[in-house]
Amino acid sequence: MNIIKKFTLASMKNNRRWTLVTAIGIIISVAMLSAIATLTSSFLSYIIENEKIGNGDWHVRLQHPDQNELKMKVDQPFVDTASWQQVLGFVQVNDPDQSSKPYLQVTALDSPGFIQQYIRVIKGRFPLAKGEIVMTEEQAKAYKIGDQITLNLSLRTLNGEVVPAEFGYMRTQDIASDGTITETVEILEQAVDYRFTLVGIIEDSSKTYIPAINAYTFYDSSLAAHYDPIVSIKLTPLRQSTLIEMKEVYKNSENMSMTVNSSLLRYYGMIDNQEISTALAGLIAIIVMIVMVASIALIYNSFSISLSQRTRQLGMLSSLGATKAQKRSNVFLEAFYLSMFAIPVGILFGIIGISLTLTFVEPLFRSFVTTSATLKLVVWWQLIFAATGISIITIALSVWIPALRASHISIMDSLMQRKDIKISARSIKTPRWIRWIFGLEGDLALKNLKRSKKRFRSTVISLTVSIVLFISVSYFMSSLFGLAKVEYENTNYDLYVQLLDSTAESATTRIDRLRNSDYVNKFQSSRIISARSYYEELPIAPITQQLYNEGFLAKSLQLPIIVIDDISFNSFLEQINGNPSMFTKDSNNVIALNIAKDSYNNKRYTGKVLDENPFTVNVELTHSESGEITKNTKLNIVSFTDKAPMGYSASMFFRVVLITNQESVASLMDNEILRYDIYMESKNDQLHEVEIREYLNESDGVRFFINNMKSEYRNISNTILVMEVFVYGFIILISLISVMNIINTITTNVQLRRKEFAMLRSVGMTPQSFDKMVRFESVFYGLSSLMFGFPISLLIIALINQTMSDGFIVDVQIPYGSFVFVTLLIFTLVFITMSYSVARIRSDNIVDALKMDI
Amino acid sequence: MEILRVENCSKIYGAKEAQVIALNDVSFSVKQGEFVAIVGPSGSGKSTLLHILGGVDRPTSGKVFVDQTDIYALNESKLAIFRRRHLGLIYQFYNLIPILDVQENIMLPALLDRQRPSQQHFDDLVATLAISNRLLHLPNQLSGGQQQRVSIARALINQPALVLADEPTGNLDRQNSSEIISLFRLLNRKYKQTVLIITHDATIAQNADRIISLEDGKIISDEVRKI
Repeated sequence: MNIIKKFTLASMKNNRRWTLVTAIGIIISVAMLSAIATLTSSFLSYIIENEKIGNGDWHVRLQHPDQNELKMKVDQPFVDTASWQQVLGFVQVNDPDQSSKPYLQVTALDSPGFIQQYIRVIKGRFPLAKGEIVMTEEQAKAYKIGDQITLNLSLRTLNGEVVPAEFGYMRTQDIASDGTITETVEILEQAVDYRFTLVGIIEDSSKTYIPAINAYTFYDSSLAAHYDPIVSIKLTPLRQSTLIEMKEVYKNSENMSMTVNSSLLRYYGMIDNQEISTALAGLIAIIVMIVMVASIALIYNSFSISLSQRTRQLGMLSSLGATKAQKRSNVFLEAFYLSMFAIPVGILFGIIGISLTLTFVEPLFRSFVTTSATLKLVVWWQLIFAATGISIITIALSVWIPALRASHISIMDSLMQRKDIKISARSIKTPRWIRWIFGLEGDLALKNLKRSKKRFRSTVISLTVSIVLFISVSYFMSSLFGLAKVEYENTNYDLYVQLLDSTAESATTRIDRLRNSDYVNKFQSSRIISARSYYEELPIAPITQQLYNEGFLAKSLQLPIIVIDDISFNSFLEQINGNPSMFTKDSNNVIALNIAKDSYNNKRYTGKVLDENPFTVNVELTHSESGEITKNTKLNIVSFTDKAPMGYSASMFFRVVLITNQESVASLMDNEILRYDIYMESKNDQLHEVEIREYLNESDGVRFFINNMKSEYRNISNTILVMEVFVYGFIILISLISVMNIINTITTNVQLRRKEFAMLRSVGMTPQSFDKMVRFESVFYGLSSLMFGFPISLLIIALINQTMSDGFIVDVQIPYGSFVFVTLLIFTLVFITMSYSVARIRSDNIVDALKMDI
Repeated sequence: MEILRVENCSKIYGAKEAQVIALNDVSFSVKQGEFVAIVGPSGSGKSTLLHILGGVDRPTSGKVFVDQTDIYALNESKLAIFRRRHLGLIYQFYNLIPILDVQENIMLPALLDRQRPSQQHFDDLVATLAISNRLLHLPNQLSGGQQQRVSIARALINQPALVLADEPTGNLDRQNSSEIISLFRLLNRKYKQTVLIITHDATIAQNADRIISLEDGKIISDEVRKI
């Protein structure tokens, strides 16, 4: 081993603590890069798997009437695997007017085909021989495994033309010259009987746009089929040039059709996809840049500090005749040794970290995606190599300047440690008021910071980066998701069911049945009568008048009458202290929901719409469907409230919700359609929803629509949570780098000043004023970083607002919470680091410290 | 008047076999205005003694009274305050604070005490030490001799009971050394300042009123001279 290597290793060992600190810095940086790589590969794999499940795992499909011709085509070097399939034909199983899946489609697949198409067997097995078939449970319900099935398979045609198997159900309309419309639909022709043996039950995987449910048999080249055979090819190697070569080869093939699975291939980069790749690459590049900058700051700092500690030894080396190159290699060697250890560890940590994150996130993730693809840890070694490369570049960049400096240090300077004490009076000049306000301790603290300006600056920069990242990202997250969240948080119900019934009697029965479900916590059914009046005729509140004058409102005010069932209406009256005796038969008495939240011209308005004195108003009733005026009548607005019934939150300035019971407006509802809005609070929204669906599906003569607000909200919350896990994970890691940086800087700063501290104590500085001085240093670190961090954060918040307010109305709300949080965090952090490093020094023996070399 | 009394001071480093007895039951006292030189070969315990007298290192056993105060009965803060008011320490390597200018370095013990020393005393001191024209310089802009004079001024600014100097000329050339020693002598006479100097320079010792010789942690001679 040559002497430089020996010297490097020895000095690393000697400064074990320091070496460890530097190594941890490198490990964190590398771990982040490897985490980014692993996350990228895991997500891309997820997307790719998703794509394969949806569309099959193939790259190109060729279809040709002649099987032998196809076989010859496939014999090419770029074909990795080829799997065969052929649609035998269709048989009608449902009424095309009733069902979106009128047919059963039998497709023959070879063994690889079953895997490529992601077909899953629930019971039994895959077909392994000619004449064996697998079907969905629904289609096979009349049979059991082992049964013989005869299917009469046909060709789909429309006006005598063959309809390709993958086309949707065909209908055409012809308009004759006399204006009559004739509709033609596709038909099945050339029926042939096929005999199959049922060997298994599969999961239904048929795509929504194909008008058929799938059944599969085993592929055999001797099969007679209605459709041309198809060969699905997987290409090799997965490069853009392969695709070009293939297209060239197949260019002039007659009668052959070729389909490229572009939605899959674009993820392999074989097809240019500007949007996806630039957006993704851009995002990754930004994150990688942030990580690199933070890492360089950290690693550079570590090395330059360890260098200044070793200046003396380097000087000694060169006084003994070490060349510049030798001195430089000392620093590079140190970097090399550290990297040998820290890079593999960092890579491992990154992968482990993402693996843990994914295990945590996967169940949440699954709750809002509907595919069977799983989000699992996937490591692409190419990306890990790239991460390693970037790490090496980062380390090299960080070491370059310290290495150069090492080679330039003059012998005398380093022996005398002159570099460290080269201070000019001007550079450490502090304003007079500092001593006035903060005392000698404060002044000393500030002078200390000014002396090591570079270190101070790099610490402040890393603190500032953390502050800005935290505030702006958390603001971005909250404003992005806040909108979505607020909307759901304002809803006061879990399930909404809309019923369109044929008779009032059956509606009553059904509503009673729904009301009596065990899952119901709170229940309200209502009908709506549309009515309107004119602002000119109404006693309106000043704010409404203002909006009306400014032209934001039309002439008429919408006055929908919400007619609530008796039970709910009574409890609503109780809630608002209303008088039940007023709402008698045909009284036309109503309550106005007289609070409006609305926005005009990007400004928010909240207030009363109407003057709060009971009055009678002439209204025009309109029919819910036709919109025609059905009646003119008078309504008595007898009371006002700002409490909304279930399903409503507030009125608008152009629409005031009126609430009443059935009795009061019975005569107004004669001609209305039987539409009921049912709002429920539920004990278990999911089971409840299933119960309602089952019940209403079995009922005749009713149309319905169900909206499960609670599960929508749950999904949104989970999506937000997943995003937050990733984003805050990233911030925490970046902050960790900053923290390391701060710890580095502060501890060495303190270490290097041990002698000075001892000196101050020997001339009679008390432990209290020593602590005070150190605390002031911490405060100055904190203040300076907040001084830069806050304005920059505010600027970014303004920018985010600017971008988000296009199309949205966003209240500009300064996130005081995060500012306070960050302030506390920064000060705690700096104080802890300072106290930790100083505590070690305070127990120093003054005499020993004074005798120290550095 | 007795300004310093050392009673049975011992200092032992390490334990058991590795034990080193740096000071072995040392007792002596010094009167106000005395100029004492402590001499002895290296390892004789003279620096240890000086540090114990200066209140920066604790004796393993024994007591030190400075101006009638048992300094090791004080807690750390009180001792620090006592140090800055009643003791002046001067080191071989000056130990000036590099970020403070000369004036601030000199005033440091006073500033730590939130006091302003009398301007007259300060002016007189810097004039005597010939550093009046260097007051706004930083320590690294001064020569070794000048730095040592600054540290002497710092030791004297609070008019301490006792000035302790640890090889004050050890880092200086002969010319500067003799200048510094003459200064000590001058200050001793002018301000009636009690001075204890550690040295192994015989010519310096010759300037002292009293020479205490140490060997293996024990006083082997205590010679009062008449000059």
